[in-house]
Amino acid sequence: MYFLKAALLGIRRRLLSSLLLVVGSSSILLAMAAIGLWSNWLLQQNENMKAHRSVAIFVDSRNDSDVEDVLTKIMQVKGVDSARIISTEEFQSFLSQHFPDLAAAVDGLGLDIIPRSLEVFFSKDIHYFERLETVRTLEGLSGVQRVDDGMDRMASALTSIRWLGLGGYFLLFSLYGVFLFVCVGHYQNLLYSEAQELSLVRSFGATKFMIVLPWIFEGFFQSVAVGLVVGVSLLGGKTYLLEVYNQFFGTVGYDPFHFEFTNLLLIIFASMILSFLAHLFSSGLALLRWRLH
Amino acid sequence: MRVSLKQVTKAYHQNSLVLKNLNLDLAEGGFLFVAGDSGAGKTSLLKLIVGEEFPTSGTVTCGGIRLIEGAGSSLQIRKRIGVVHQDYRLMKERTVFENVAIPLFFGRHGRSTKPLNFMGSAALRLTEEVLQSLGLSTKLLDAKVKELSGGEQQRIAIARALINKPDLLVADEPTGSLDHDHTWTVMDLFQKLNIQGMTVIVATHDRDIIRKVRKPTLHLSAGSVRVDERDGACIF
Ligand SMILES: Nc1ncnc2c1ncn2[C@@H]1O[C@H](COP(=O)(O)OP(=O)(O)OP(=O)(O)O)[C@@H](O)[C@H]1O
Ligand SMILES: [Mg+2]
Repeated sequence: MYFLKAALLGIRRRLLSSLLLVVGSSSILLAMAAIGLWSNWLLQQNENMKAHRSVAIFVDSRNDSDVEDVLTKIMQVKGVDSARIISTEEFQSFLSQHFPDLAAAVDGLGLDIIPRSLEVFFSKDIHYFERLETVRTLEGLSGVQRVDDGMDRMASALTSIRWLGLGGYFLLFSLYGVFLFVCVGHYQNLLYSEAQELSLVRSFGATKFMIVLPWIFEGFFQSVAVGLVVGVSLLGGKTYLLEVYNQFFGTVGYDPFHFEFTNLLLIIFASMILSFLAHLFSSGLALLRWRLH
Repeated sequence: MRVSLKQVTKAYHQNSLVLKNLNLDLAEGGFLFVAGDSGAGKTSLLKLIVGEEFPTSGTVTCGGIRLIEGAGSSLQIRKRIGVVHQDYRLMKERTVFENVAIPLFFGRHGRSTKPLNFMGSAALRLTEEVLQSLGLSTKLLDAKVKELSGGEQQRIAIARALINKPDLLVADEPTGSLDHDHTWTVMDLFQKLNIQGMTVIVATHDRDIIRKVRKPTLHLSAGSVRVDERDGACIF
């Protein structure tokens, strides 16, 4: 088929610029994929944290039976889903993980000063006001020294994370804009460098569609290449990516970021489609803007 | 294909007329020479006829369709016209086959209305035929055009114009780079195709050709027109 062959010839003749475009598009789409995953995950975390909120309760005694008393009382409070006793070892390891300096100091002083605490989980579908009510009831229980809610702190963290996530999506669109810009430039160049040949072909009665068809094929091949490059790079950079993400957010107590195979396929597919759409759009635009007799 | 120009004036700049009030009516199957000194406007006239340029005033009609700038209608007409440009306009980095066969993929062939689906062999066979009719070896098929001599390139340009079996051939100095024998191979072929029904317009400097072929001739000189009418095919 002539147009297919013309497309292959076109790629061969412009190998360098084609390669550059593939590399450029792949990097942009790769960045888009990374940002997209990240934003998506952040927003998802946001949802999760809203849904599975818990509070820590400190007990004013270090006696095991006192702590268990408090636990039975807590379990009867309306709005509480479950509760568990945090062992001193667990508390210590939490400290040494998140506040190593403090943990060292505590270690020096011996186990006695570590307060006994419980973790209380609310019912999943609890409303904001019910939740406040529950926290107040918990604070009123005898034997409870302090309820570490941190709702306000969390609330502000949650909004900022939300904005971060949304900002990521915005960045995503901007990057696609950049991609389109590069693509439009590419076809503008192509038109310029091939102007003579195109007007020749035009003089044989070629329609605009006939002129753009080899470009469409070329764009398709390039998009497939871009999808593959993105897929391979993501697969290769996966471990590194996860490490970076989890270093940042693992400490804050977020779920570890995971990345599934279906996600990868989705990204490869989306990259191909986004790239192909950009090619279609830019080649069409270039041709529309070109004055043909 | 009938070609008619009515009161055609062409000016590239405001106060220099290249063609002035030119009337021309070439019947289908006619043969016309366009003669004149360098700069007389031969190329300009041919460009008007193939729709590459448009008149400043007046009308150009080819095959019953008026050529208007920006109107897609001329696209259909172009498929039926074979053009030999004075500067050849070949794709120098491409092979002879690619150059000669290219109209087959975009235009149409002979009387059929659609471009034929030329998978490999059909296009190759037609290309070989047209090269042979112009005295070119089929060994040249895979050579790059830039590796050919000037005369060979000129005949490649002619082959490309003829491969579609056009209804109208417009040739601008088609023998300018050819030796005597090849000039006559080309002119004999044009005459043969003309007898088979193709309308032919040839611009040339070569008085020898005009004298021997004995066809109507349009003499252009700086805006004015003189006509030698030798058979009835041409009315001015
Ligand atoms: N695109 C253009 N823009 C401005 N002036 C032009 C253009 N094309 C041709 N001319 C002018 O029109 C005049 C006629 O040019 P044309 O090419 O038609 O001559 P010609 O008869 O074909 O000459 P030659 O025998 O040298 O090919 C010349 O004076 C030329 O400078
Ligand atoms: Mg000329």
